[in-house]
Amino acid sequence: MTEPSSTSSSRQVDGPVIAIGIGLIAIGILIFWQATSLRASFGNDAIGPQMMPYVMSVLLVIFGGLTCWDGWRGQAPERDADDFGPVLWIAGGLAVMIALIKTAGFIPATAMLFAATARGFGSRRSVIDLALGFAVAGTCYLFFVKVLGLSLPSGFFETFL
Amino acid sequence: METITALFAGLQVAVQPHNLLFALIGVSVGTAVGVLPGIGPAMTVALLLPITFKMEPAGSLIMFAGIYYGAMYGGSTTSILLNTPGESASVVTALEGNRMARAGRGGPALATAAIGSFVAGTIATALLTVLAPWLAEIAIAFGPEDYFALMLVAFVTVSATFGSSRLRGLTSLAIGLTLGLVGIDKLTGQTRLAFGVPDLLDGLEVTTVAVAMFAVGEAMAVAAARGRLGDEKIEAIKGSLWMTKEDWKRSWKPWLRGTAFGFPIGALPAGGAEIPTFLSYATEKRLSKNPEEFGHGAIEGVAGPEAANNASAAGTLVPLLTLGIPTSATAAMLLAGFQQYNLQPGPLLFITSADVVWGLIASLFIANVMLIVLNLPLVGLWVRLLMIPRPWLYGGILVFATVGVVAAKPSLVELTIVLVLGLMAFGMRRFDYPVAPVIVGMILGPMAETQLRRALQISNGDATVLFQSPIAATLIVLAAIALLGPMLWERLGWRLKADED
Repeated sequence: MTEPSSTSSSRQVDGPVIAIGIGLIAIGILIFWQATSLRASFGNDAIGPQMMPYVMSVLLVIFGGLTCWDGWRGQAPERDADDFGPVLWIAGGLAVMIALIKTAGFIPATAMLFAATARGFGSRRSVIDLALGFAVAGTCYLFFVKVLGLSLPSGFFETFL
Repeated sequence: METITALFAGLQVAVQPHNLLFALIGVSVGTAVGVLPGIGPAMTVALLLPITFKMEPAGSLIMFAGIYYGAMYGGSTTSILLNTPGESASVVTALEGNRMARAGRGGPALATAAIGSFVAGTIATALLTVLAPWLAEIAIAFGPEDYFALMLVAFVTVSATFGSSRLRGLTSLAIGLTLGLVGIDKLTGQTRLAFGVPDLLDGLEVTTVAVAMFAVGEAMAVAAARGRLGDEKIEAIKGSLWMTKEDWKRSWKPWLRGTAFGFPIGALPAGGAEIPTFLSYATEKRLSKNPEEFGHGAIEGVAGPEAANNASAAGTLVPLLTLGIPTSATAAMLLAGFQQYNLQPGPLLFITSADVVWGLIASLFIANVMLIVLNLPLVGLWVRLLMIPRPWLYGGILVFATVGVVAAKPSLVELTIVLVLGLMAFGMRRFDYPVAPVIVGMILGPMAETQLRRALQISNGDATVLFQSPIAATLIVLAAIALLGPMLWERLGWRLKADED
């Protein structure tokens, strides 16, 4: 894996990449611990349900270790200077939707998601976005419930449709 | 002869009015998602899985395949007019296509893309028709160890061979395989990695993971990069949609060469439509009589790659239908589509569900005809989709995504997983981890595990069974070469370069 050409531009230790590596190792250990409670119910012990989890945990720990090594040598590709505000808007929109969907119903919850996503993409007309979100969510709801016969969580607004 | 008879029987299935309608819906939706950035064929099929659950298999599979083909057509329109590829397989098309549009030759660029797609799609579907039954006959002798070895090849090539980093590709694959482990083990009924959450006992829904990986992760990545990239400009379609004699003369060879790249690379478990488009572009540039035009709107640079990505879509269906091996994210979704009807793609499918398979193959020819009509005379209609403001487009995508997830399984746990995995998918894009291996690993992983355990059970736990079958042994060697080969070439390539200096 050593590429002789890239050693010339020696970069600094890449903290976030090392964090990813440690995360992978942690997940690997978690899976290993979970696999210890699994047993083959019959026949050979090697081929039970625990085999693949053990394999995956070992692989994740190895890949995590190699990732740490890459981070230590600063070998990861350079990242763009992204703006994390929009990511928070979208993640927040999803969180609000999850919190509301069972109580307020599908339409208001996804309308909030729509408006938050639009905000994440730079829209500043939140009232219009919210209204449009209601329209889009309402259309979706009608199509899925009335035409396709699927059930979506309903609340106050949905009873009028 | 048998093939011709079977194809005609399939044609009778495909021309039934409701199946024609499903094909039309499929290619229309496919073209739309191909045109729209931020939503692709894999996620669209994932969203439709819960909706089509109650439909009959032939109709919905015809629709899914139409989406796959349609997205390959639609992607070129966005590449040419917007310089932002609608699909990853259309990245190369943007290089020359957008230059042509800026120079007032958008019409011929769209035409050569659409006609090239038609030519390549039709030839490649014909090759699929001939090859599939033949390969199915060979594959019928495959034992579980052979299937496991074949899946190993697919895992390695999808994740490690062609990406920018072997380690990151394999890590993505490992994440996908781990996600596939969640739930009750099919062979023993024991619960794995569910952490006491009842919602996880059935395993993760395909729709949930696909929505997180593609819709949420993609939306976050695009939104985060927005300030950096600035606004995009849609080029108006200038120039006649008719190609001149000169255009035809310069296009037909690239179409055929593009098909020659696309079909085999799609058919081998080498994964993806991106590689053949890059190869096709490089070849056309080298063979062109006027290489100085490349970078300024050379029609060959649109014709070749567009033919290549359509041919590869047809090629992908060969291993999917005959072996049950998906070599791209969209193919993995199609596999999930089969599985929801308890149909297992593979050699037996040609015997047990001949009407479905042949109906599907026959409908692909029909879909190609529909698509050239939808994408040439009606191209102006699709361009309007690009006028949707980005904030509303992505807002709408996330609302649809939520519907799909809730329809698949109305559970807050599932929605929370969308949020968590969505953030992970954003991180993966930021740190240059490929996303497709996650999907392929999650869907193919449990199948590979079943085959491996079956093989080991027959041999009483003796792992050498994997090397006793000549087919399995060959495939495992191939997988090892695919994993370690690039490392050797890098070394050698570096040596050669050093010698030159």
